[in-house]
Amino acid sequence: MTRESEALLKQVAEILGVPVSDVPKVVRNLLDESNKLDALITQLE
Amino acid sequence: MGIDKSRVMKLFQKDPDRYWRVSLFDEGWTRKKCPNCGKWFWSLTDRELCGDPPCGEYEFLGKPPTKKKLDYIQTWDAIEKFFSKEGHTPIKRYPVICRWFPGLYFTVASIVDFQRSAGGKTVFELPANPLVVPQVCLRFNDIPNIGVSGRHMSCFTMIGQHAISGEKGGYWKDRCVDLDQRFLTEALGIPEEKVVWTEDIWAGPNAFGSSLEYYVDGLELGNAVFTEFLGTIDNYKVMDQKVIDMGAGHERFTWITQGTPTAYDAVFGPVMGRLKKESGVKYDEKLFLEYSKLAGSINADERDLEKSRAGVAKKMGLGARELSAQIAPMEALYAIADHARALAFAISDSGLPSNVGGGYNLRVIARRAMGLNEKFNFGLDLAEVSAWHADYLKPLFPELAEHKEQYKEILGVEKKKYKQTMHRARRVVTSLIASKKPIGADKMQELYESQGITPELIKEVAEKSGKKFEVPADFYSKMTERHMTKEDKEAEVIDVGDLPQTKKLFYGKPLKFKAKVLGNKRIGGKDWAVLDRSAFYAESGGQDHDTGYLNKERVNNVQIVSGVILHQVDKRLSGDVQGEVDAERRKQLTQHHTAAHLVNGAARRVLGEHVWQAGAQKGVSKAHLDITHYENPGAEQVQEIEGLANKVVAEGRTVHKAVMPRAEAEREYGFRLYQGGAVPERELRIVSIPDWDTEACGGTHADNTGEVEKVVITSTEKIQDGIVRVWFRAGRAADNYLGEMDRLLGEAAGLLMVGDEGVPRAVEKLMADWKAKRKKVDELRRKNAKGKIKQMQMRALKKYRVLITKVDNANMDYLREISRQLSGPRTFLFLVGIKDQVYVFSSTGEEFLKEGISSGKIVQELCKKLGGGGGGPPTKGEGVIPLSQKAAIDKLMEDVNRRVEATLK
Repeated sequence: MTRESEALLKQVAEILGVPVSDVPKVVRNLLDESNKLDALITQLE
Repeated sequence: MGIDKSRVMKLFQKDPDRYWRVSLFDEGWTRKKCPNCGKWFWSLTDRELCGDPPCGEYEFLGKPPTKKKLDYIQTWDAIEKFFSKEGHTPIKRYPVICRWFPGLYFTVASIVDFQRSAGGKTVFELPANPLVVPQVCLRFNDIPNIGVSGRHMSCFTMIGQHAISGEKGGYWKDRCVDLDQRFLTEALGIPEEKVVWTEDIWAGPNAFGSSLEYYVDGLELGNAVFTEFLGTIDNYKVMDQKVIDMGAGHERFTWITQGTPTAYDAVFGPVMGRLKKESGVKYDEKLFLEYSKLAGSINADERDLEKSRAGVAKKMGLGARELSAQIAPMEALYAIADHARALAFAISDSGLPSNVGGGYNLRVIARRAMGLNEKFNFGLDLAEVSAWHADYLKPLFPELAEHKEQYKEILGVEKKKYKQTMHRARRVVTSLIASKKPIGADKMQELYESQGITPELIKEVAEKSGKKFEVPADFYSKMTERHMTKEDKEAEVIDVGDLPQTKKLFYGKPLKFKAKVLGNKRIGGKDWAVLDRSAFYAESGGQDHDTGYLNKERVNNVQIVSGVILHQVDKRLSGDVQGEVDAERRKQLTQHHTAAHLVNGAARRVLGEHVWQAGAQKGVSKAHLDITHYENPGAEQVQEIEGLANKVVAEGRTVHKAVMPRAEAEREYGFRLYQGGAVPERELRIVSIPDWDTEACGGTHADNTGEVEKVVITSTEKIQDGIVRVWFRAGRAADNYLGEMDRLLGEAAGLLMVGDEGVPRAVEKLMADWKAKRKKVDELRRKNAKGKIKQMQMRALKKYRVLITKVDNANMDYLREISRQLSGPRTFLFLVGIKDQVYVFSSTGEEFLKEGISSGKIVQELCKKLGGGGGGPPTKGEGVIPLSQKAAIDKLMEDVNRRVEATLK
């Protein structure tokens, strides 16, 4: 991996609009948010 | 503080023979004082005035005093032939971008070629004695006059005739003046009685001497400066090596042999012909000849150009407008020709138009040329005009033709930037003019420097709005003056007293050493030890300092002041010490420094010869190199740079390090040596990676490029116009970086439960799902709200309908939604939502407004009363109240209800 990892990570960082070093943190937040939204949808429905 | 020239003149005038009389003047020349300007001059005739305009006119226009006409190339041939025969070595021009002498962006005179800095003083180092050089110079202090005066140029060739008196081959005043007089009379065939020598002086910061300027038919052709004294007017001595600094105008020689209306017609040769043909401008030579004779006195800097021109028009029996209309397009063509030539030289010598330093001045002329091209609708391409110059000048300056592609590329980018700026600038200026705020000199400067908005553009927009706006005649001179010289940064002064310079051991291998403590300094509340010798590298040249130990004391920081290395330790030291440099840190810094040279060489190969180091920082975890380039390079270019750098790493080339005399190093490697700026030493440490990169550099370097292990460019960014920062890592730092990339990607992949390659797609899907879910939540909320709102009952009061209610679990968005659904021209709504705080919303329909109830006011008043805030127009009010005031809400609503009922009674 290495350079490939860097390229993949930069691609992800660009999708998320965050620095490379923040990618895991932002992914984790998105997953949490997504779960909360699921719960909220159930409640509203 | 410079030397007071008037005092020097006063001193010399007490004994004019000592300072100005030369052997030539013994042959029938007489010394006179011009009754018009007061200057002293020497002549063979009984002329009364010195002849220098305004004490005379250009008499050679239309009737050159020379035997034959010479074009630009032939002029140099004649000079070279004459001076070679007289024992001078002709040398090639130096670059117009001055990299070898601190304080200057451009080569502004031929003597600059040979000026060097050593030990805080300026010294002269001539590669031959005597010599003659066609030195192309760039000066930007006369921009408004270029194209207008017939003689001013931003780019001109100073014929430098230089000699060091007292050294082999050198000579002094008599021979200098004799040679120049003979060149005029023998080589050019000018009658000797036409020559006038005028007395003057020259004074630099720490040296001065007399000078003799020579004129023919009113045209100043050259100035022979005799740099003789060192020091100030109050304390000076005769120099051991006196310097002949004769600078003559190549362009002026060509002009006087042709007698054309302007110097531009003679000097630019076929380029003017092509410009006229391509632009379709009609050229009335007779009119120009007449105008030029009178226009010699025009100086747009000193007086308003329009006024000067009106005076000339009057003398010609024409109206000012009529004259302007006839000559303005030609003046624009002349200016374009000059600017294109200056840019051709600058770009060939690695200059780049930008917003900073000397690049600023190149941008000024590029934009002036583009602006004139647009104004007169010439349809010219500036890069093409530069290429025409390159073709014409090929016999004398063949190097120009090698850079035609760069003219196209760099000026093409510049044109794009110019168009973008103009588009944006028009909007800014239009709103500025509309605001009726005065646009003074400071504002003009700010607009120009921060946004590239020219005073001409302000004038154009102002006039379209029927407003008068005058462009100050000296605007560009003032602007460009600010970017001719480099300002020295104020360095923090640390007094190291009488401590001797430290013997430097850091270029050697051993990182352990023994030394004696010579003293301790207390600086910034910390102790700094000074040793007789040290292997610690102090922070310099963009390379971070070493760390390590002196005995058992940790060395936290290392700095160097006047050759004295200071080691910051936690405890004062004395006696003998054992030093040990942190080897891992040193290795990393060394890898980064050598990698910086590798990246620099690679960037030059990929992006072009204009790439020059503009700064660098080599730390432990990462490093960067700032390079001159006009845009952020694309991913492919970055990959190519990295690939080339790693190729040289893989080849394991030897990195040569040697201390050489400066002149020898310049001869062997050229001025590209000075990537980190001019070095004020007579000897330079040269770091050379064969066939790749050679620089004067004081940093620590690998012995072999293989020791760098690998170079990884992590990113690039445009840090300012014309400068790109390349971030990179080498050796272990590169491995750490790539390891971190693996780790971060692995972590993301684990969270998403996909393989590494699947992460981008999974993140895209996650983002899309998240957005869809948010949308769904909004929709559900709206739907639920609609249901609830339908159940809300509005009360009928006269012809109106009123709703004053409290809604649980509702934020401001929810209240707005209620309003959207229920509001009408005859409604009044007062809604209070309780959620994380108390939201207050009110709306008053247009009809209801006539009853005198303002939603904005009610909300403002009530929110304020309960410790919150809000307000709005009469039709709508919004506000919030802290949740702690929840209990007071019912009372608040009752108040509103009472007010509405009372109003509608």
